[in-house]
Amino acid sequence: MRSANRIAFTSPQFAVLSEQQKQDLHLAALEVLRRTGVRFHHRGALEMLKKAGAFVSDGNLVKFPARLITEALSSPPSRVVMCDRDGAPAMLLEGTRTYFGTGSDCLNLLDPETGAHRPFTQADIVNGYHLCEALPNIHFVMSIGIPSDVAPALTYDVQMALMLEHTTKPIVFVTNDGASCRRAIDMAAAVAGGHEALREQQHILLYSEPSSPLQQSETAVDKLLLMAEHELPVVHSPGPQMGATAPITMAGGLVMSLAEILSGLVVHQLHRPGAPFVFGAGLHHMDMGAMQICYASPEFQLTKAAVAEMGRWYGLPTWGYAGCSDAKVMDEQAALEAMLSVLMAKLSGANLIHDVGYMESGLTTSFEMIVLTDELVAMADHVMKGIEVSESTLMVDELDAVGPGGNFLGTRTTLQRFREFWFPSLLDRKMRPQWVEAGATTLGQRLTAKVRDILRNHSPKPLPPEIKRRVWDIVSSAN
Amino acid sequence: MDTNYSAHQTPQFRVLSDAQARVIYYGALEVLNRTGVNVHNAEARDLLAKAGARVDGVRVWIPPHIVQDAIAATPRTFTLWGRDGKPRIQVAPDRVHFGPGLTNTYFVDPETGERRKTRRGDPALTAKVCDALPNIDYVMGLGLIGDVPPNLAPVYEFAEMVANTTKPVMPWAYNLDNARDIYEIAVAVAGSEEALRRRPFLAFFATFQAPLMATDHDLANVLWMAERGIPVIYLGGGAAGSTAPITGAGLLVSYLAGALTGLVAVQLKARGAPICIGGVPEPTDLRTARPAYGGPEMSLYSAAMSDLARYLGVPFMGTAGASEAKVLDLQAAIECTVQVLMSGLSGASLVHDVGFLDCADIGSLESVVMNDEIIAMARRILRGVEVSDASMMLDLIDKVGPGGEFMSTKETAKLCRSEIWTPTLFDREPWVNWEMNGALTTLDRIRRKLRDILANHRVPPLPAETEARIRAILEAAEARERRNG
Repeated sequence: MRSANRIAFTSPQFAVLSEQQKQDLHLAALEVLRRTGVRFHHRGALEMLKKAGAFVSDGNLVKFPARLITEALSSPPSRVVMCDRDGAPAMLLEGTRTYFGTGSDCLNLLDPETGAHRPFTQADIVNGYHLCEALPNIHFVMSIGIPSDVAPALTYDVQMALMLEHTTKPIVFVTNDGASCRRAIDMAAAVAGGHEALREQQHILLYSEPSSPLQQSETAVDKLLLMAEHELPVVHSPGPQMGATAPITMAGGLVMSLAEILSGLVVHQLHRPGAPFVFGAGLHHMDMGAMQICYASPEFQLTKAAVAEMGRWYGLPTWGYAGCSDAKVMDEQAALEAMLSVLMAKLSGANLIHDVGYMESGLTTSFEMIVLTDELVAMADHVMKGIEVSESTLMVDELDAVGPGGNFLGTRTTLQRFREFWFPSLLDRKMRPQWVEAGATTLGQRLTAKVRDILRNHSPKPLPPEIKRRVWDIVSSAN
Repeated sequence: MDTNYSAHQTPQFRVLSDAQARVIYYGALEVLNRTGVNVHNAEARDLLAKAGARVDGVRVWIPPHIVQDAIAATPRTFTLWGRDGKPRIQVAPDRVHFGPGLTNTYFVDPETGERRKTRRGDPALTAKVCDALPNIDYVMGLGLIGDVPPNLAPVYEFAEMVANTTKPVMPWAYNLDNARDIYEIAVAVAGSEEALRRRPFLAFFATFQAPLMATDHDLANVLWMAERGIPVIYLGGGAAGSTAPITGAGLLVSYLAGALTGLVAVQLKARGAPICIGGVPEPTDLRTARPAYGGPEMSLYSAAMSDLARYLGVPFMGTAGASEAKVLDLQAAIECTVQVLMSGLSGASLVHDVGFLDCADIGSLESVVMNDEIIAMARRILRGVEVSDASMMLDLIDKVGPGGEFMSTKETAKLCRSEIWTPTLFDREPWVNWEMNGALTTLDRIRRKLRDILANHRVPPLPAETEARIRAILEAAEARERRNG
């Protein structure tokens, strides 16, 4: 276009917080950190913090001068590149690039063959990883479930070994203590070809949590420090319930979460300046009628967007949530909550968007939900493309050539461009007779069929036997 | 993939913020209401008085609501066509188009290179050269014909331009007789009044005087053309320190009040008539008492006028390619480049005066040829930098790696022509090749290109019957002038 001073929205514009509001939240968090402080149940952390100039009183209560927070925010990298199992870059955690993955540690699975609600087994979570491996819009995995046929002490080790063995996609893992975290790192290093190779080709990211309100546990800090030493990325994400373990207002919940995240970041960066740190928080609220935490409430959509905006404001990669529902089965509620959460996650631009497949407040996983989310992400990707306004898309000449009452069906541009529209793979757009002829299926039936089809026909690239042996040797060493 | 992504699809450039534009606009409204303007055309005074303006003699005080209403009625955009019926220019804020200027007493003879009085045939050459140059979008005469009856110069100029280009043409007129002749010629070319109104291939150019004077004939012509659906350009300015206040803001207020006076009169005469306001703001060089086209203030204030017009939603005619130099030399090249880039960045709709030398006294086709190349460079700059996953080429960078080369990649082969601008006049050869090719200077190459266009460029001729009709119109005009003595 022969024109000047053009600014184009190349994607839809969306924000929950203004610059001023972000500033207000940050300053309030600094005030909490300075006035109220955070309890650190970790001797090493207390020593580091005292040496750095924090005020330590009452044994383990740490109050932070603002400069410690400012310094801690200046060193972590603004972007993290996560690689697949083969070492190729798979996710650029930066800006507003979005990637989707499952949740971790559900107790139950909605069985894709029988529909039964039953405890997870090892075979189930392996199926889950195979499913994720096959779906193009699921970019990373978390453990999905806690296998009931594994000794509880080995849960996290077995999950890690199975994830490494059964998917090539990047892994976000959870562990219970420093020792199991070290084994998880060692397993990933065995697969990557050594700790140095793992540091260069970051394949794993640790999810850990502060203990809301305003506490950091010994095991969480142990894990943070260990990951920092290996320069492997972490997300230290509070998961408080507003009205129970956090103030009832969303702003209050955000302020408390910021204080928890930033206090964790200080220790993390004091230990190893520049170690990668992802910014995240999941602010749920308790439904006081049901006495259950909500994963799909409109408030949760707002707070997750606010968290992504705060993280970007701090210049850190960000953590998000989508594809999760409070429904008990794969029904209409599940579908609409999934759609809302996916679109809000895309608009918020969080980098790592997890919990895909969660049902029943995170207690149960549905494979159908994972398959549906894969489709919804594709749909939302098309929303995020926005509308291209340019000489070639305004089509003034073509409108003139076709004219009033004409038809655009046969024009060359229509033929060239009609594929730019999104074509669903699971949602139905047939005319009724064709739909009837194709079996008159509901979306739920098509989701189940696709899950079964993938589980029967897809198996990921296996690990070389000797590496697999070394991984499982590490699991055995836990005994 | 990204949310909240907005792209500077072109470089961003503003002289005035919206708030500054608003304040200057309010200043102009205050001047029109408190000081008033001298409107030397009786019909315009009547229109303004009927709309509610106070009139005393030639002085008219225009209250703000009349101006606001006129701006609301003014189309933000209109199309200029070619005489071949093809749409050529969508005139609108931020869409930049370039063309020459008009009424230069002297013309640089393209054969001999000498500066001489402009004569018949010169506007034809100008039209032909502009027709051939890809970055010149419309045609003005670039000369005041000296060897025809004095009152008929603009009519002959228009007849020559129309015959020698299919790009839009911008005539002017001394008086209504001229304007009628020009309109008749245009109707003859278009086929009918209705065809001309539907697809105007001309915009009629008129000026106002500074400070705050709407001259009789200019306004009469503009009202007459607007009534017939011909887009009009109403341009004035003032020289800072002589016919306008010495400050930029004062000049802008005074200019805008003058331009809006014409805009209001046109909208009162024919509501919704397409109009483009324009300004040539020159600093006065106090050593010579001459306005300085080449001064940096000219480009700066023109860009500010473009910001004002964008704020008001009205198309704007700017100025570029006009040098104070007496011959096409280094000064001319420097002044033209500054002006072209600044007007392009400012988003002026129609930029005119390409080819001027010596304070608008001389028209130079060599300069037009040079400016065509400068405009091409500026347009490459205006295209900005496309930032996308595809254009960042991370995968290619990874594949080529440190110490590799991008010359032999298929991406380079595919995009090298669209990504990297190639000059047609400027030299980038190694010394040896340059020497072997005759060691030509830029001026040599400009002259060679100009001679080549004049010798080889063909413009589709007008049909014989149209030519005959134009001849008859010119003969009738001659007869009228003889009668009028």
